[in-house]
Amino acid sequence: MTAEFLREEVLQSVQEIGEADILIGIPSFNNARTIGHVVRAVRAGLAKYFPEQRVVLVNSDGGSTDGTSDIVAQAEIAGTSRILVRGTPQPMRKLITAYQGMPGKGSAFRTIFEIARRLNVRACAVVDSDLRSIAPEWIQLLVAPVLNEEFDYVCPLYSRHKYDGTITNSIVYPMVRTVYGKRIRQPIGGDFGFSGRMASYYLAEDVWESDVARFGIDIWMTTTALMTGWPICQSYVGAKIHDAKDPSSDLTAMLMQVTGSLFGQLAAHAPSWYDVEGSEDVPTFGFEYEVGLEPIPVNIDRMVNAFTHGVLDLSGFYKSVLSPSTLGALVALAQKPPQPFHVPNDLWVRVVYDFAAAHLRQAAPPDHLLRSLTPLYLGRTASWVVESASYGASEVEQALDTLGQRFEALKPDLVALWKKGGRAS
Amino acid sequence: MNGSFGASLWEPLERFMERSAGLLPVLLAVVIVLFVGLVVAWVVAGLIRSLLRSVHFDRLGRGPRVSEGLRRAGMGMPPSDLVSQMVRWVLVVGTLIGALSILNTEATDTVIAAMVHYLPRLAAGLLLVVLGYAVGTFAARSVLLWAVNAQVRGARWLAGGVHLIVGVFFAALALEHLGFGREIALVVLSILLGGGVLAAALAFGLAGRDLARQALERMTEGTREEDRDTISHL
Repeated sequence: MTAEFLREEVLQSVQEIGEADILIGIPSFNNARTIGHVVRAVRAGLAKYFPEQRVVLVNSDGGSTDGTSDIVAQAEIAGTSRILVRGTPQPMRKLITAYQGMPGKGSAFRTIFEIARRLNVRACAVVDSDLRSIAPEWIQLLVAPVLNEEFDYVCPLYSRHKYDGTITNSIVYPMVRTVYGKRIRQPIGGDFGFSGRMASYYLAEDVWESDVARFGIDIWMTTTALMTGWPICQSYVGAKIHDAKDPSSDLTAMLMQVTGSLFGQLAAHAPSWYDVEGSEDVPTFGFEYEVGLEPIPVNIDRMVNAFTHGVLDLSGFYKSVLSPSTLGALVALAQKPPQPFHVPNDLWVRVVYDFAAAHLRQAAPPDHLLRSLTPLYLGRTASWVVESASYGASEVEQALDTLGQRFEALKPDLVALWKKGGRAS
Repeated sequence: MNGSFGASLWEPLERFMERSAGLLPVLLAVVIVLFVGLVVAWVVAGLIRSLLRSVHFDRLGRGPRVSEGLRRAGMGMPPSDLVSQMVRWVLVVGTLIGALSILNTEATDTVIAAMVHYLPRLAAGLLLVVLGYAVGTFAARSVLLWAVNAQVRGARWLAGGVHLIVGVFFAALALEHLGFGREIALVVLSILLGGGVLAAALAFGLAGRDLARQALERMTEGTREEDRDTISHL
């Protein structure tokens, strides 16, 4: 296998290092504000929990101009006594490189996978560079299931505010659970653990010139691991707090990327998932606890307005996307929004299934199709905010489980659509 | 007197009858060619459609997205129907030209030559119209989706305006290509664009100043709220 996408100096460093046991990868792009904390947490975690292992940190950067790489190079913990480590842990080698290939997180991961393969590592983990809440324990929770329990893929499990992660909660989690039959709560969490052989498997896949290289890497890694039967678990790591949202990123773009990648994976893995019935839990590690999270201000009226105007303005376009009954129910909701506002679970499931089918049959250019989901998603989010206003953490999970069950119950409809190439008749 | 009047009346009638008698076989031949040609056009088109359906052409067409492309361009017929109709019309035009050529006069020859000469331009003009419709539909939908997601009021009006302007622009191009009516299309386009700009200027500058301000405030209100939204959707 060639590795034209690795720079010469990186290849040289890899040769110098020879072999390693654990590799931690941090993809980055202009994360100078937060990456220092992430590197220190990784270093502390490796020193505290894996002092005997040969460890390497790889920063795969997308061409940052804010000094991200310098901060990674300089970031160190003051001393091992601060983190209660006796003795001298193995030194941590840092490889800092600008990745090559299509710009995106997937290309950054490809570089990490290739270095992992060349170093013949046993376990890897990747963590986001904009995390404010990462702690040394995250490294243990993502790596130990691979090193000690023979798992090949570890998904994160976070405590999040009930209004956060709504794309995951209302689309990705229930769809992954329904299609692949495993209840993985954060399929696109962004922080994963995996074995060295899993990294080599990913590397050998022919996806690095596709959208996977740009933005669909998280869902691709998870669904590929699920579909090919690698042992999977999840680890509870605590609260997830990101750096403040990038002002240039907007909801529609995020929704497009996530749903486009998810629907693409469904198409790639059909018909293997047709016969999967119900879902089951995966082994979960870590000590779960409730986290006090700051309240989030939400403008429900704005979201309901976006829904009602969106449905009425786009009703002509939706005719080529949604089934007549689904569109009829949405238009009725938009014309006379109930008080309090509510989008029923079954209606939402049918919306998601119809969009997945429309994506398959290419009922419209993908860009147009996925953009048109935004008002419907905002309506569903408004409904969720109203519904969960008084919920505690356990009630939130219960409600999401109920939604997941409705996705599963209506799965035959999705399979029927898929068997006909996404067409209702 | 009566005899000479009768003769002068009869002579032209006789000449007409003679010419008609000479022309009748030609006209009959034209009618036969037209009838046979049209029947053949319909039969061949039907055969082609059946043949294409028997080899699942519509399903094959789905692969390279032909069928969906047609639907997106507003043409709802399956690819097999489209191909058969194209063949039918080619045969119909060929039949018409063949029928006219039977007349074998200088005028018909000139008409046929002009038609043959004009056909490529006509085809190019039609192509421009179809292309304009497809581009207009795409652009209007892009604007509609942007406006809806940006929560701009009157998104449909905005998209309709874009569709109209793109349509008129391509119609002007097509007419320009065909060589007639270009001034009309250009005037319509100028009125639409110029009128729109003038109306907007008046709204901002004169009587509708307050209304325009309020509309802009309403349009940008959603964006400001969006900035304040602190939900992390992923």
